[in-house]
Amino acid sequence: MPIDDDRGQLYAFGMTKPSKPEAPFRFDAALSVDDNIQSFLAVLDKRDPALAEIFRKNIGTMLPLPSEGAARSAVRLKFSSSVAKAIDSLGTHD
Amino acid sequence: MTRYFLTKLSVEGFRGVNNEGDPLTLTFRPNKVNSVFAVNGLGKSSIFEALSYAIRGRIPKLDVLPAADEPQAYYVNRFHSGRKATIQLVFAPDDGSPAIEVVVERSATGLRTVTSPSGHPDPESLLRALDGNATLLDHQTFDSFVDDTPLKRGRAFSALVGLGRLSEYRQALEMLSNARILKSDFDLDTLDAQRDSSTQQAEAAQRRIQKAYVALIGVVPPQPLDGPAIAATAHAALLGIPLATQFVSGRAFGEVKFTEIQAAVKQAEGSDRRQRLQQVLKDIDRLSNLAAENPESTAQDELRAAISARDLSIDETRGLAFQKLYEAAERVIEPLTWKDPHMCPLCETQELATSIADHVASHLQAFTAAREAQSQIPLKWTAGEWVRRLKALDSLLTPQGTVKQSATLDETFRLKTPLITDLDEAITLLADLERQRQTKMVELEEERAALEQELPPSLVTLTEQLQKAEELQSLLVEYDKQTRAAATTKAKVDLRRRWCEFIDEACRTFAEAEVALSTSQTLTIEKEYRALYDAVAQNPSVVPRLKKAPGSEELHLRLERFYGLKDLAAATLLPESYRNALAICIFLSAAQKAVQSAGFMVLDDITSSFDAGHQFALMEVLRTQVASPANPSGPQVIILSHDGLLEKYFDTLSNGTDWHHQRLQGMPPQGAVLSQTQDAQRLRISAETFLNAGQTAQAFPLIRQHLEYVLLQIIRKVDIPVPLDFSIRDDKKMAENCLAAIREAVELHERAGDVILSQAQRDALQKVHAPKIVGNWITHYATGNTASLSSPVLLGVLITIDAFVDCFKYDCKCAGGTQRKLYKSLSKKGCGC
Repeated sequence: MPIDDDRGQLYAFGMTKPSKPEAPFRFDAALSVDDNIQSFLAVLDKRDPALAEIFRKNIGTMLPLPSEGAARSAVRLKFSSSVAKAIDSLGTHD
Repeated sequence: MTRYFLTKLSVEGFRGVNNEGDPLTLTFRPNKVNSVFAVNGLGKSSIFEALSYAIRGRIPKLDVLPAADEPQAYYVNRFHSGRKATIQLVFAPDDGSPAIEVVVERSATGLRTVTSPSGHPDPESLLRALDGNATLLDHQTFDSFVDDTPLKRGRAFSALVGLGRLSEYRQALEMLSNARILKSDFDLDTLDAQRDSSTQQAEAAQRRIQKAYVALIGVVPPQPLDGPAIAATAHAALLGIPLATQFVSGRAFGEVKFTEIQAAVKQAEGSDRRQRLQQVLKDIDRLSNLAAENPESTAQDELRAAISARDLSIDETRGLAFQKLYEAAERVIEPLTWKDPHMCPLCETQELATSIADHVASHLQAFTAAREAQSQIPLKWTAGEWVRRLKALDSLLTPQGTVKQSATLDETFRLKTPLITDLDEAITLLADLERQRQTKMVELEEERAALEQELPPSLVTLTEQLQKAEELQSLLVEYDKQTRAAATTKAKVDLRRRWCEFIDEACRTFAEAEVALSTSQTLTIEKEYRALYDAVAQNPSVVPRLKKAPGSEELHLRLERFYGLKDLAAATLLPESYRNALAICIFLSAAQKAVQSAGFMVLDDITSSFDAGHQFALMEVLRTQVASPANPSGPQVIILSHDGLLEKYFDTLSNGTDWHHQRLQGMPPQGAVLSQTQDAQRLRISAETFLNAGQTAQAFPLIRQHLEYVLLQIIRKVDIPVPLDFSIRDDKKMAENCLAAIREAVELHERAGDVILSQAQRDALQKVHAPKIVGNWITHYATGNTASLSSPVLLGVLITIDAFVDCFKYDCKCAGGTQRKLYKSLSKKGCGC
């Protein structure tokens, strides 16, 4: 795997190098919110499929976002804990 | 997407509507503007709340009450004997499919059940789908939109134009990509320290391997260090020692058991001196390896600096009490709720020089900085090579059974709040242990020299070789362990940093896209809301503008033009009614663009801050530009109002083809509330039943409702004019006001000579029925003096009311038979009879 980007070592762990130059991602007013979110997830898939998959699997635990600060912290911690486990496990598979 | 129109609403036992066994029923027309009028206290708000509970599952104004007030206990009408609320809704889909009936019930214990007698498979989901941001709107919605912070307004706007979920997604991403949170949630500092520690220990093992290798083999090992090659060379060297050969042969270097070789050597030698020499050499090696390899003052100075920085940070914080104060203040002045960023929540001083939010944030940042500074201390302590040396020397040199001072210090630095004095104590202890080490080294060297003198040189050499080989064996294991640990931790850290970069990039991408879309939505409705505002405010000198802050969720309400001035804050210049008008126009414009399941829009009391002229202007805008049928793709608008002047407008329009108006009457919260479209005879029959049973107290409110209903029906149907302040007089005098209006209208037409009522009707009206109603009912009821009225008298009142109504009727024979009809007006019939 080429290590020619300024992010160097990161690509050694399976990160797909983004194609450059990259057009800014835009939501489409003609699409539904769900379809727009799917488009966003597709962008993430292109950037880093492994991490995008982890993001996709766990973001549901954050939503709907609680309004109260402590509850927000609780869902964030749960999210981070799940993600940490998933990316550590990703390292053992790489 | 199928749109659903609301065609019927029935309410019983909910909030102010009791209507036990006789639900309040309102009908709505999908192809007309619908209005419902009620004077204060007649259940208009209960209707809006019934819709809110049915569709949203809650009543926002009850949600904010303190728990001690038990808001949940106030959904069900307190006078309903069944203690059950029932809300029935009927929706007409615009795709031509059959109407859907949904019944929402709530028990006294708060249990909500949703059913569909018409057979909809998932009525609760249908109701949720109808909960659009422009479905149920009241004046508070508009007030908030104007008065809220730009951030909250921006989020409300996003929700309004259907981007609420994107806004929520963005907030979640922003929280997840916060650098400080990422560092803390993913233990990056700790993992970095672990990796550094493993690397240092691997390097230390590597240096000692070189020394042991040189001592055993006599040459420097090849670089970079090759563990297996070193093990192979050491293995070969051991094979060359006759006493060791049998214990080494056939085993890998790492599997060699040096205790077996030592035992064989001891047996061959026949004394303990060589074994003692072996131990002395081992102790010398251990102590020698615990000599400082590099200057330690740098690491100690760094730890000292970390402690000093932590102390300085703590000094900046002003203590725990202030931390609690600032944290409480942060909750109070949360950007979505605190409207004046320059007002102190504690002393309520306004016009502070700096934003209170920035002020609190800077102080809380000091606490964060103190926590971060504190977190560096255990990391530097654990990573310090000199600390490992301290603990090893203490373990080696302090007699067994004695408390290890280094253990106490270790606990302080890792788990507590160490001071500079703790660091000094550690350095002093290390210096003391170092002196002990050197003294011990001298003693051991002397003992070694004595033993080597006593033992044959070959045995000394053998002992030294075996000791070095054993040391090499354990060092290779240590080196491998630490190298692997460093690599594993590095891989873990790199992966986690890769996540940090990924989530940060994701957040940036999402935020940029969300802002771009929201900005374009803002611009999309600009023309519409400006045109609507111009039509309502009728002031071309003021041109509003919604302005999206670059890269932010914030939405600013500005005035592009204000009597020749440019780009000013709308909230500070526009009077309340114009601010509300602007908010309404923005909502109406956005609602027309939004794609939502609800084809109806309920507007509750939205003109409360408007004068009559602007009320009519807004209603005309709704009728002619926004609502169906004038706007074929517009919503079915349902207006709830308590404004007496507006009711005249509603009344006038309800005679046309595009407006459907209803009026509430009744005696809530105990008695019934009825819409004028409901059969008033029910009131009369109920009152008569009570009177025949001698229950006059129960009959009073029903007689009053019945009388008011028939009088208003005469006024409406016979087109009798009423004074402008008719509806806003004392409600206890409503019947009296009605009678007065009718009497004056009849007298006017008599003087004009065009009255249609027969002479007999006029005589009966003026000389018999009206005086009877006044004498037997109104004078008593208006003064509260009803105790003297018996059942027979009140039954007579009901008969008189019937006779009074009949004075405004004639026999119509147009349809063949004879039908009693109300006159069209006081001067004509409604047909050709």
